[in-house]
Amino acid sequence: MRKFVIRLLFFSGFCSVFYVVLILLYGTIVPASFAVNFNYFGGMGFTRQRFDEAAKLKNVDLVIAGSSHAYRGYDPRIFKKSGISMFNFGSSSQSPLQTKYVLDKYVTKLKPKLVIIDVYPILFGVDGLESQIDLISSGLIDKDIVALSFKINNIKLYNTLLFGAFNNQFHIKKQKVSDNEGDTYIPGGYVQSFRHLDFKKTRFKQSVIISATQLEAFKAGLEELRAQQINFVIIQAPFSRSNYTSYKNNDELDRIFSSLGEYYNFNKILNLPDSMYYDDSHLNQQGVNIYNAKLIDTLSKRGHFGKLAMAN
Amino acid sequence: MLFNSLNFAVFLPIIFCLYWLVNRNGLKIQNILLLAASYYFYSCWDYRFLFLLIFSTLLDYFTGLKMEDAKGIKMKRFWFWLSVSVNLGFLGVFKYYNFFAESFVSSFGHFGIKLHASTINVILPVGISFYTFHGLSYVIDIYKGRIKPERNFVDYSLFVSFFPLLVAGPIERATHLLPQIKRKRAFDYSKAIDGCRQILWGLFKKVIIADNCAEYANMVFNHSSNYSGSTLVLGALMFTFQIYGDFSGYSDIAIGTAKLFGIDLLRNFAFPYFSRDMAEFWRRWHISLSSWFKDYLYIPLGGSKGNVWMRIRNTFIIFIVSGFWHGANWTFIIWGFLNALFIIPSIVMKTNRSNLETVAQGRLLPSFKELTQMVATFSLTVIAWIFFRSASIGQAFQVIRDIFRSSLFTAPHNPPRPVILLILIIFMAIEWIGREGRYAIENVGLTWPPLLRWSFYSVIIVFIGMYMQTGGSDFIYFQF
Repeated sequence: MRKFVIRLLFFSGFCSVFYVVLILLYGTIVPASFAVNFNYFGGMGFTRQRFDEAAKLKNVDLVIAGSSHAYRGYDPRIFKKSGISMFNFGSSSQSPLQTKYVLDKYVTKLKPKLVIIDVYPILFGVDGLESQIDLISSGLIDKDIVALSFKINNIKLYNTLLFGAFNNQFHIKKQKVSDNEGDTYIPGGYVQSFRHLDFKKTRFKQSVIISATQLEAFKAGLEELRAQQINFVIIQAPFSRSNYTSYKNNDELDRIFSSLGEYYNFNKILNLPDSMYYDDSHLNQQGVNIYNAKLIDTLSKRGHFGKLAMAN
Repeated sequence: MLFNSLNFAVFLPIIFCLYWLVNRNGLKIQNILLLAASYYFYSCWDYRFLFLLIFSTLLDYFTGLKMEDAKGIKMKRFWFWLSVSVNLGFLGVFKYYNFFAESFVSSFGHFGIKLHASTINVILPVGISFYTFHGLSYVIDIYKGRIKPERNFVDYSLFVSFFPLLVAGPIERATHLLPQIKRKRAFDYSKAIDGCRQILWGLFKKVIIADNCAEYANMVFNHSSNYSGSTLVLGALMFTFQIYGDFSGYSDIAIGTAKLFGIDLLRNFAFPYFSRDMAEFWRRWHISLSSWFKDYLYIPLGGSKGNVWMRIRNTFIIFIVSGFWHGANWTFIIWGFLNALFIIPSIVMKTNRSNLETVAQGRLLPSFKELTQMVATFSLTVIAWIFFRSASIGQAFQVIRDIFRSSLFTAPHNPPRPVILLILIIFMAIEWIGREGRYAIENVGLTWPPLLRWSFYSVIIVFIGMYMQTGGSDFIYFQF
């Protein structure tokens, strides 16, 4: 028995080292198509640049958190014209689990006067894996990211995290900026694109089934803001009609978000033509110009930016 | 608690350590511990069904004793039939009631008579088919005078409920398992290492082969009318590997786990896809069930004795009953019927025992004749699996009909990743190399330097981590 246990422990040690070595091979020389539960793709949507810039950030009036809808939907230059300094903390497929991470790590320390939490309902129904891999792939690994990875608990995440930790030390693989042609990073966290891609005008009808874990994380993030006495609004940025109307339970989702705080669904406030979208989910620059102007107007009427302007 | 879950990875080492730590306190404590662990393991699915398991155990335990103590044959027969009818009654209610009710209504519907079936909304208790068959074999063996009843209730309960085999077999016999439960067990280093190796291979089969093949098979069979002939063939092939990886993987984990506790379970699979005829296939596929039906149904019916028509009748009976054992659906019955049909020629020509040895024994490659026989047998099993996997007989016929269209010669739709196909080929190559062992990697690398051998096992572990399906899935045979 003793011999068996000792042997098993030795084998576990050997196997752990072997595992790490093979993961490093997967991250470096094995073609990506051969790796199923591993995806160190180097990040996308300029996540690394955004968070590098955020690390140096001092004072800011307005902070945006959310998915690619956030980093493609809120242009700091437009807000600047209205006298509002802004930073965009959006990241690809950012689910409420990662939004809470962003709020905890950056926003509550920056103490902005207002936080806009952009909600893309479908991300309330995911496990948060894709966004977490984006953060890890962008080189953002700290104890909170590790803890969140354990909470999401997926082997793909662990493999990517293992390589990511090694890569952060030895810089074998560089972080990417974006996969999309025509994207430009604008200081303040925004990604600008003037393109309009042709997209499908019909989609399967579906309902968003909100995950209890995501909703709990979302509420916890809001509670944290309340505790820090930071004002926030929940906003659903517009996305294409065909995409928006494919969700069968939009009214139910609106009720849920309204119950959590001040909420605006711009899919119901604005009706933008398809040409103002980059794809069926994101605005392009023409769309952002109109949307941001409307947003500033809407929030000003509610006194949000009035308060900011007075403070400035 | 699934074998391929984190919960089991915690549960098993704890029970293993406790089991060998209490070894010095005697066999009784070890058996009590194993029984408690088994009940805990079972209650992780649904604790309510634990009462059913305990009731079934009590029934067979007491009827076994009553048969032994019965004064005359009438009383002995009474207790025997009480046990058999209650056991089959439970199985009937939980597994087959709705099937019979719906089939009854449907058959009257053909004559224009409209009836309303009163179906019941029951959840099938996990493992009921397996532990019922454990109990039945025990009471039948006592009735036939092959064994004496077990008087120690803990030992008997452990025979029925031993956690590695509780939910999906192998279906044990009292003559094989009970003596091991009653014998003092000493820790055997080689057996424990062998058990770990078998668990590892079982996990590989389940997590990599079965789950990855399932993804494609499910895609195809869930919308079979949308796909081309070549896609349907690939889907059927993927299911063929899925069910083998799933069930034989489960059996390997169960047998390997039992070895850690010093217990040998019956072998359940012996590389069935390398069979040269259907009779050989059925000697190598789900061996513990096939031999159960052979011993408790086929032989009592007359077996191979009697004229050719008797043998054909008996063959059809056991295969159709075997199909029905798998589930309350006509697809399983047709699957059993087809297998009987495929095996009949060898029964008639008395060639059903011509391939008893492992194929190409002592050689690396099979002869052309052996290869042809294996391909033919494999193709027949694939056709039968189409019925097993389909949701209805109509779907099965649709799949077979649509395979033979011109689209058979087009590229399959959305094929699995090349890396998965490559792993499948490597897997079958390892199975082929290791076909003379009890499981494929039993003897692989035993003569290699330890570092190389450990690297081989580590590669399997890395592959599990790299290619496992992240969604997780149940074992197919849990539903039976």
